Amino acid sequence: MSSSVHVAMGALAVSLDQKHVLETFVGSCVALCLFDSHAKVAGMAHVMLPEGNKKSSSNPNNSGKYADQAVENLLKIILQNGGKLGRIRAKMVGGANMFTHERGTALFNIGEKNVQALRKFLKLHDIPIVSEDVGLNYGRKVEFNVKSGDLVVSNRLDGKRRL
Amino acid sequence: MKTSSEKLELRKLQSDLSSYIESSASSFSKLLHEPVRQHFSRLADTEISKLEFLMPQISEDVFAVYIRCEGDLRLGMMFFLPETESKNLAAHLLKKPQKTLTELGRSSIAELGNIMTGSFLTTLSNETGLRIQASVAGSSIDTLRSLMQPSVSYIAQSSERIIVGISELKTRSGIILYFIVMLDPHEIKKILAKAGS
Repeated sequence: MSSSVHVAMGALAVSLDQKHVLETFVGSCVALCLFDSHAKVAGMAHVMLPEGNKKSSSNPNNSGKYADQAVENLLKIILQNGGKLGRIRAKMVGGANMFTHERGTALFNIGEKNVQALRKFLKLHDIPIVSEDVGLNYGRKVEFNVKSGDLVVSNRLDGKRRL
Repeated sequence: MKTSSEKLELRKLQSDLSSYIESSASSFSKLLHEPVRQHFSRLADTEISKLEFLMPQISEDVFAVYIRCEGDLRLGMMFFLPETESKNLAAHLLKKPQKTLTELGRSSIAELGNIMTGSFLTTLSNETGLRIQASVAGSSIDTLRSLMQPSVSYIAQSSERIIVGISELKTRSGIILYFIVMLDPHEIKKILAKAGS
């Protein structure tokens, strides 16, 4: 029997519990999942913005808020729990452009910037992105299974799909 | 834990925001040709991670209009209502039944958002002297959780916390339009220092 762990906006969670499913909802934000299948440890960050400053990370509930700090913080906890660089993989979902002008022009492209920032910071740590579902213009529910590493994405248009 | 002066500030802010939203309710009423009642249901100063639990619990997708404002004050405004209700609202605005929400229907609600934002900002500006520019209105249909994220991210650029004001505008025919204002807690003093001065 699995149990859900909700990851709130700007937060992150790491789990070794093989019954856990990490879940969140993303629009322009991005759900970043890092996992080491060998060490059976996985984490999810709910990233809201591309980059922060050192002062911004003081609140532990916001440790997944910025892309740069989310990667650092997730990685640190996963390594502390037996993960190893070289084995850690990433999956990411979200970064949508939620609002359009009535002529269809995209507005407030924070989603795309979040995705670009995460790609940059993951590359700095040589963490490969093994699957992703990013961009477009709809919100997504994200469920990451700690045991299997499967990520299930649901949205209002296509229903569910596994990544 | 909030000090008593911070609690007082929040109460004063709620009263000020409510009066600015009243002017939006008045514009809404004129467009619909029917009375609109405003109920300011909540003002909270909250951690971002707890914000989604304060929002109205709406099980279906919502139609939302989002407008971002900058200048002397940075704030985000979002109007939304359940997707099924949006057809009723568009029908009222266009004086024509809407089986589905057409492009024209969407456009009419986005325009309503523009007009209501204009009323809100004009009143706020007149009362405080603050100069604020609004973006064009963006609209979308999706879950409320997804749709509030651009607005929250916009405010969260400069703050760890967020102030959210939630008001319900109820028409005589039973349509409820939610009006949400989000701002950085550091901006409260700008409004309060100038309001009524």
